[in-house]
Amino acid sequence: MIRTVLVLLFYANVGCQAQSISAGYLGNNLLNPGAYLDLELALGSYHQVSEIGFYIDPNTHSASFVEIGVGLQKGKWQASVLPLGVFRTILNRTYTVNANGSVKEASVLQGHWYYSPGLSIGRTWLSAGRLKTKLQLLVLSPYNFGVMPHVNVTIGYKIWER
Amino acid sequence: MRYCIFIMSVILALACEKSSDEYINDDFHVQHAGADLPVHVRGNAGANVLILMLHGAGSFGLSFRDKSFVSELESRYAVAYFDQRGAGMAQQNSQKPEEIIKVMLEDIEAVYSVLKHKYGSDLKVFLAGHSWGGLQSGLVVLRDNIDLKGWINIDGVLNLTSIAADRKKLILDIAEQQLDISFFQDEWQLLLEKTEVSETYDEILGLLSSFFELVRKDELVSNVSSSAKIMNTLVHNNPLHWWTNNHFFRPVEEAIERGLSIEQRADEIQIPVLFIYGKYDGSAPLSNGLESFSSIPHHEKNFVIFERSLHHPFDSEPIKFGEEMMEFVEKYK
Repeated sequence: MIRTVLVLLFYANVGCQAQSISAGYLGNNLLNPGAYLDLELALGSYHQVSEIGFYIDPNTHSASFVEIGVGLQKGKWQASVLPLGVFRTILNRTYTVNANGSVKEASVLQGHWYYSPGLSIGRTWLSAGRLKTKLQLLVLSPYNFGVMPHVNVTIGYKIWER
Repeated sequence: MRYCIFIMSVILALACEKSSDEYINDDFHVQHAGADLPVHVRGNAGANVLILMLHGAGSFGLSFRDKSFVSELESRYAVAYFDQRGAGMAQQNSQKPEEIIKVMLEDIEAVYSVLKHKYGSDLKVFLAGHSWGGLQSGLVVLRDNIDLKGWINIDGVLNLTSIAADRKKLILDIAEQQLDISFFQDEWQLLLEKTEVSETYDEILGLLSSFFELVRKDELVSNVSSSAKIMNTLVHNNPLHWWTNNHFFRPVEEAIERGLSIEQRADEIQIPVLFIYGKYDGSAPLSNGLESFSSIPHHEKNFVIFERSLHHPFDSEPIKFGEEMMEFVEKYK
């Protein structure tokens, strides 16, 4: 399923015209620090929104994700639906214990892939609307025995605009 | 010049002296049976003694890391806190295994294996469990697959077949005790009447919040408040993870259905044990652990009642908790 989502992510970007690029701070659970890069493309009266981001949860893991969806701008506000998303966690040092009880030394880049659709609501600030803030909800699946919501807040700057 | 050489020699000698304090602050994962379990080891590894701490249902490992755990236990021993399968920050993609309770016990043994692998085969390990973790730790002791110096059961629900009856008896006993002396006699009377006609597990569970409220109003227990606890809940553990995991995964419900208990096999326990219970703990009444304790055949055992505690004696009576834990570990390490 993850491969299908990646292919869809690629084709969703073909044929659109870039409108703006913004980047900035991303806080997962408010406090886990990270960064994001947004690309907005013209898609008729809507925007196609693509975002990559990462954060570090110092005690347990770091994670990166790619999201693609459609956004609607109304004045300073923008709401986006992000049906296509892939989320990858990268765990800190990991030891594997096999069925026979033997322990294997820490393997690097252990982690899990998740399908991660989401929603976001954002607002632009300053006279030129270059400062952007956003509240984002991603839903990771399958996570443990159900799903897992992730809340990100971002504050960023439009580094390029058509 | 000679003075300089002398002073330098003294400094070098002091620097080379082996210290028994060796503080560690390790975070890693243990991957076992499809799940990745975060483990946080904190404290003094110099004594080569480690307490492996199991959390209760719907909780997470670092929830304990406060007060007596930091100031008393970690200053002398290493403490390993870990998030159990489906809880806290643990991760997996797979479906719930059929024998989930057995797999969770194997998880504990897997974490033990990694701790031994990482810190040396001569590491002296004590297994401690709180609430649901108390029952799990007891089951691990009975499996006898790992070498433990002792078992510490903190407010463990050790017999799920009698838990509803034990809760009912505690509420009735305390209500009768308070009827003559409390400022809130009407409320105790109402609780007493409701408890007398309640029979099922859910009915009695529903009365616990009123019981806890009255116990607090009568100031029978010490107040619990801690900024470190809030930090642990909101920052070190993502509260969304805690809430969501607890919503999807409640192994205790399965354990209740199966009537899990260690009472019938407690006579097989051969290692030293320390049982700690809060006198007013309605979640895990001390009578629920007393039967198992009585069945343990040897004399290296101690049952301590915390007179001013509910379900978390390490929070409400931290000094006494630290002293009891240290006395036990020092005696049997």
